Amino acid sequence: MERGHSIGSTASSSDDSTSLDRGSVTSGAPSSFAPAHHQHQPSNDSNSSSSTPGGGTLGRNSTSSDRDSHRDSISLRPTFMQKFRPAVATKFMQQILQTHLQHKVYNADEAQRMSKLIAEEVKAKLIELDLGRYKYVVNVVLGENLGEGARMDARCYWDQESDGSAQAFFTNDSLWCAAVAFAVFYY
Amino acid sequence: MAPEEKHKFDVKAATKILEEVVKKVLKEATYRSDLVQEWQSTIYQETIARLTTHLKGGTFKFIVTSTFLESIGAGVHISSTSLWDAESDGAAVYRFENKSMIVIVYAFGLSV
Repeated sequence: MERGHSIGSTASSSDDSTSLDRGSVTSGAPSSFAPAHHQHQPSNDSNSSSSTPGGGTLGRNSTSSDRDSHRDSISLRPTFMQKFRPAVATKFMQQILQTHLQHKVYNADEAQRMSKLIAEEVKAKLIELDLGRYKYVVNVVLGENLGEGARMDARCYWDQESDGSAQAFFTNDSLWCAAVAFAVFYY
Repeated sequence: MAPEEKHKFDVKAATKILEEVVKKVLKEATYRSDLVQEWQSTIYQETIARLTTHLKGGTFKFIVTSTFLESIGAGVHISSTSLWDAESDGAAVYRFENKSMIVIVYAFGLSV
């Protein structure tokens, strides 16, 4: 995901013959951000280290009884209605980023709370879709906008037909935020 | 139904794989926007290849994500949240930092 570029994703499978193939989800091109901002030398490194993720915040939800009941049966494909559709997810993710971050100024203390809030909200929305046999991973990166170069992308080893990812990107004068959601079908 | 030991995503081993791969690829590298894509590609390829061979016993789908940030003193925060079977699935994270960049690599393993 690249700042300054529109977010487009190309999901491609390298090998169509296998059912579990490697799909690569890549977007954006190398950063072309002007180096004019380089006078922002790391005056105090504590800024970057204090707010770097350490171990990331990982909320884990164990399976509910409803999800456990799926374990008794096996399904090879999601039904037409229950398939994960990136376009739907992208839409509400963009909306969530907009509502939370518009006119906001980067603040290291608040970034932690905000990125977690956004991630939780995206996850809640995904669960609301009620697709049943999907597991979700939501990743939110919230950074300060000082004109630094950044690049974010992912590669997945999964079933191209049933699994998918959606991403949204937001930026203003003070901060940038990228949200990526992965939906993984379990059989 | 608790998964057998071998069907569990081995976070410790995965973290070690990430560390080894990232260190090998980046070594003393300096941030260059035109090279980042190449590094990421190499990291993914090696990580996924090693994860699939290491965790042969289980059936997993993997997601590997990485974030490369030029280090000029800007703050950044990453949050990750997931809905999955905590008994079999897991996430490994490795953070690499040198003078010119900050790299955060995640590996998620989800049992099918």
